[in-house]
Amino acid sequence: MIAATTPKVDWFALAPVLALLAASGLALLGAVLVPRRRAHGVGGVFAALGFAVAFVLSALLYVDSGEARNVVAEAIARDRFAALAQLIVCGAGLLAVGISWSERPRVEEHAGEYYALLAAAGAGMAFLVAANNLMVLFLALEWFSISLYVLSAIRADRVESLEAGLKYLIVGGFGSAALLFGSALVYGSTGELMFGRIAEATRAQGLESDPLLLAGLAMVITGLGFKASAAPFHMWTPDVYDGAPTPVTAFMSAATKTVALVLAMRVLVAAFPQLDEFWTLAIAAIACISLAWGNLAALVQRNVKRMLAYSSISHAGFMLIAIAANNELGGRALLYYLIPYSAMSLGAFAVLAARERELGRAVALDDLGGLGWERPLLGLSLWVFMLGFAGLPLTGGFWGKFLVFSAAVERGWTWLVIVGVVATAVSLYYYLSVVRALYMRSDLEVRLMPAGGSPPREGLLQAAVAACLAVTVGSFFAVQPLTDLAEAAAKQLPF
Amino acid sequence: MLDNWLPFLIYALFALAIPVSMVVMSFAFAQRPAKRTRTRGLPFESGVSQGPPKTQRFTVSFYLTAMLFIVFDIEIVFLYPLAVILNELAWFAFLELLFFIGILVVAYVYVWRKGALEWQ
Repeated sequence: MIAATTPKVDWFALAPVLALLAASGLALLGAVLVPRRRAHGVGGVFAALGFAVAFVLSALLYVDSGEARNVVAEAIARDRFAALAQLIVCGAGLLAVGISWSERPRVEEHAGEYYALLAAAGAGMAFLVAANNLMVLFLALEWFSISLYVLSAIRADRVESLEAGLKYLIVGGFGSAALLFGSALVYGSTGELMFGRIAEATRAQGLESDPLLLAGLAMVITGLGFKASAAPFHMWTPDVYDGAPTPVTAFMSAATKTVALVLAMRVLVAAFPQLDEFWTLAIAAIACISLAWGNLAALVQRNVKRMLAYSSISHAGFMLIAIAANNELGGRALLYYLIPYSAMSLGAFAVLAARERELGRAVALDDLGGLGWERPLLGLSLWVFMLGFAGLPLTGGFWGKFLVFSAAVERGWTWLVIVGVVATAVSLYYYLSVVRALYMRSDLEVRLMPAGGSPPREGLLQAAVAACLAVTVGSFFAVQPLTDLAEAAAKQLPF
Repeated sequence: MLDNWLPFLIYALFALAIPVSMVVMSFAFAQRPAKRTRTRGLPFESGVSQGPPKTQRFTVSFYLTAMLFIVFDIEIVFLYPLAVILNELAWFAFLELLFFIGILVVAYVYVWRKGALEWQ
């Protein structure tokens, strides 16, 4: 006779995940049970509904989680920190569905599966940000990663797409292995899986300089670094971002980065407070390398997708500064920064997706000539996204960087601010070169114009880009309410 | 402090020693015939000659069926322990079981309708 106890399941805390999982299942069934020409529509509608419902549920969860607590046998953290990250993921997912809608002729064969995987990846991400123990962490990480591996390779007729999927699988698998090995070492050293109890065991047993624990922590940081595409764990990023279907890239760049960084902050702050001297320095070093490598490599890119991939590496560097600060201001800065960053990233890749469809090939910098005049909304939006990436005022990117730097100053790491400012100055060059390519070309320089006829309407894509534009600019003006939200969430972490 | 790292050192030494010893020993103890014969140039598997070249081909359906078998076989692996303590866990386990099977049914319907179970 086994004395078994069942955990009390807080279904509400799991509701966003379950909504997305249901959407994924329905989209998958739609792929085989409805006629093929309808599969795209059915899958898209289910995925959009799933993300929308999950968005609302996360918002309710945020409102309801004034007190942070651990539920489902302490495996899941029910707090505002997770709920806000889930909001960002669901918003990004909803927009990604909008961006993908125009891909209709390209993914026709796997349309239902495409949306099912998108929703499944969203579910895994929503699960990951609420993880409160090392096993849930690994499970959720694999859950969304495997979905993304397949999504990267879903256009099996293109060799670049297959290459992206394979590279992501192998390098991502390596990162996951490092994370798993690290988790095993942490467990071996402390005997605990829950984040909070790891910290307690470290304090109680005086494990501050235990080599097993330190090695485990280092490997956990490595694994999360791979997912956040921070240098020196970034080598897969340009190839995968370039080769994957552009709507998938848009979703990956916004949502994967969000969850990897949010979870990194949670696990470091909650599980390893005694080792903060070690990990703050390690994260600061990774941030500096990301800023330097991302920006310098972006300078020489001609392919715009690759350039944005390197830009996303440098932005990982900025957000890692917020984590390295290891204070409440850092938590606030990270959560705020992710909102405009996700919008800009999604929007920029959406514009590229539209241009790519017109040209039928990868978009080089020169191919942007004339886009600003032909499709004013897309051109204007791309312009604003680039200024936002560079951190200029009137976009949320400005406040994001400002908050990150103020968190670093609070910690007393002015040198990190200087690195960040220099990186921003360097980044202006390549961000503004996109603006130049868009608007400041003479007719003679614009070598290639798309074939005649009016541009495709692509209503949902335009709406998604407009929404990204609204969030990018709106987050500049609504900085106070948004930072209040972020602050209330960051307060619930044990800084 | 330093002796704390001793297990790591031993672990690392073993991790290094095994592959290195394989390579080194295959050079050191190999009996090399004086002449380079045709047999020596052939690839071998564990020292066993491959024999005549095989051109026999398997249909990809074998792999597909094998993969699907494993996926649905694992389901049983998870259901057995649950079945053993189903009485103690009562409704909770039953609902979890239904949930688990529900997810598998989605996968099964997908596989079935996709035609992956048809022998081609």
